[in-house]
Amino acid sequence: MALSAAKPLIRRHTEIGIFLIGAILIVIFASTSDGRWANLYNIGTIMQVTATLGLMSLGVAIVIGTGEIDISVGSTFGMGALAHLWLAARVDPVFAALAAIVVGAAIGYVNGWLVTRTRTPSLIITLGTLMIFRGIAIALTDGFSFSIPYAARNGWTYFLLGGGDVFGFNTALFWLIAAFAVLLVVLKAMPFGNRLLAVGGSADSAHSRGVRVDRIKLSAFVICGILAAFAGALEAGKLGFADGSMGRLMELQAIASCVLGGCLLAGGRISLIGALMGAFVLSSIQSYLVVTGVQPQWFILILGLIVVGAAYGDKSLRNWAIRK
Amino acid sequence: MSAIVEMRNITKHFGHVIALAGVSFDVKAGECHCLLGDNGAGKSTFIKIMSGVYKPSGGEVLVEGTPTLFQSPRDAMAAGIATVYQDLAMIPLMSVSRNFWMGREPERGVWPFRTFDTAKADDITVKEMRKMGISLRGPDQAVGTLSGGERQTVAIARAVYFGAKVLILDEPTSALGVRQTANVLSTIDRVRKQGIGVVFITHNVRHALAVGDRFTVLNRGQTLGTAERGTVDAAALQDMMAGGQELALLEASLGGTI
Repeated sequence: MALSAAKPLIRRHTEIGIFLIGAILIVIFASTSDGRWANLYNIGTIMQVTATLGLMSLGVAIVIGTGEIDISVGSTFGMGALAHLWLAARVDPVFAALAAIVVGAAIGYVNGWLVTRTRTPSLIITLGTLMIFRGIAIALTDGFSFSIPYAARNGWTYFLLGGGDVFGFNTALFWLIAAFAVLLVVLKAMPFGNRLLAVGGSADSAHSRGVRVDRIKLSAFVICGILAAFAGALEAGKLGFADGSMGRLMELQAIASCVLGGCLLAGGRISLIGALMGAFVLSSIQSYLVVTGVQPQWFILILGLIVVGAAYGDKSLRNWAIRK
Repeated sequence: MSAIVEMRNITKHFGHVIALAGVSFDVKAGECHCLLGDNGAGKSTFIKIMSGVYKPSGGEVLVEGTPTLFQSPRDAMAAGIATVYQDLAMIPLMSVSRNFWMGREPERGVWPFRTFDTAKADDITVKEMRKMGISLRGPDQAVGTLSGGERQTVAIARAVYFGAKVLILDEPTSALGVRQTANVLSTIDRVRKQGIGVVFITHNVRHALAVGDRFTVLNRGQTLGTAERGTVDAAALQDMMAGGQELALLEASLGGTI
């Protein structure tokens, strides 16, 4: 049978499932929304959401690759957004974005340092830092929001950092593509990538071969923090304002994107393109529910149901591929 | 001939638990020195000290006559001590080539654009594996698809390629079938003939006698002496490992050698 020829391909490439699910959903969404979903403006919006969620998912995927998890990215995103906005109102957005990256790297360093020093599961450490940095974000904004005055929302650096569109797509999308390309090279063609997956595949094994496991894990957390905070900066650049709750619950979407995209939560195998596709699928579902006018109280419920359905579909596909 | 690595009177405590109570052991170039002991005798702890994973509580480690303190497995590897662990030699999800080069990837280009030279890595991996008598489907074959014996052989080939002077094998045959065991034992012989000192850890007396030049038995953290090849037989080694008495009774009731 022709279908069974696809089995080895599915076994090798864990991200095929999310691509199939994505394709099915696109067809369903396009045909049932009366043109409200599949138009250039809406696709542009989806890509903007995908860009920020995707940057975050790439970072989470790197951490998942080492066998750890970072659920503090939602707060890191918020901190990055606030750092960017606070400075962008005063200096050039380039320095504001750099400051956001430094904030993200610092949060990532704190996470990585705590995880590697205390040998405590990263789930609980980053759950703690999720709350800590959310608390700081809310305290900083004092319940109000940071914003850039309209007069300051110009200049090409503002435009490049999420504040403008190129070919109908927000500039954040191009940052995502750049980050994806760099990480793909690092992962596939650099010693660091080999060591990262080795640490996730078996930390003891990697340690016995002289790989500095703690250093690799720490780097992964720092990369993740940088990407999440930079995503926050781009989102802030797009909106021009942010309050202390920016990025709330995004950490869960990022993890869902990675897992749907074929990253093993146990570590050792990740797919960056799969994580991006996962982010795209989640953004598409949200957009579909918005444009079809689903009532807000049902929104999160239906999103959850579709995620569970997608996860189940992906699992079934893989089980089918494993069967001889 | 002097020893490449000599361990003198090594002790190791974990809290109140005494894992090793003064063990001495050495390995010379081109010999296979078997370290025998039952489960819990302290074999694993001992070789982890030898390979830099643990630091000893007391005693000395001498590398080519010089007292050395290993801070990490990296130090031990730099001194030419390579260890192949029974369970953590390989990462099943990764390819043979990536496993082979894990932690020591060949690089190409100029920093920060230095990349993993996969072409060179793949080429050398296939060649080295062929030398050990294993023909791969390809260097990108996942280690998870290899048999247990082949995995051990990949790990041994890797250690030899990276210039091991001493090769520590932790229970390389314990999970293997008869034929795969024979393959691993012949690999040990091949490695020894290249002038590498092999430390072969096992609790199987027959496997030890098949390739060993010298035999040291550990029992409850203590060594019961080292014997040369030809001066001991299987029964004597078995006795030392189990502490004699009880096993003799058991053997009598079962009517044969265990």
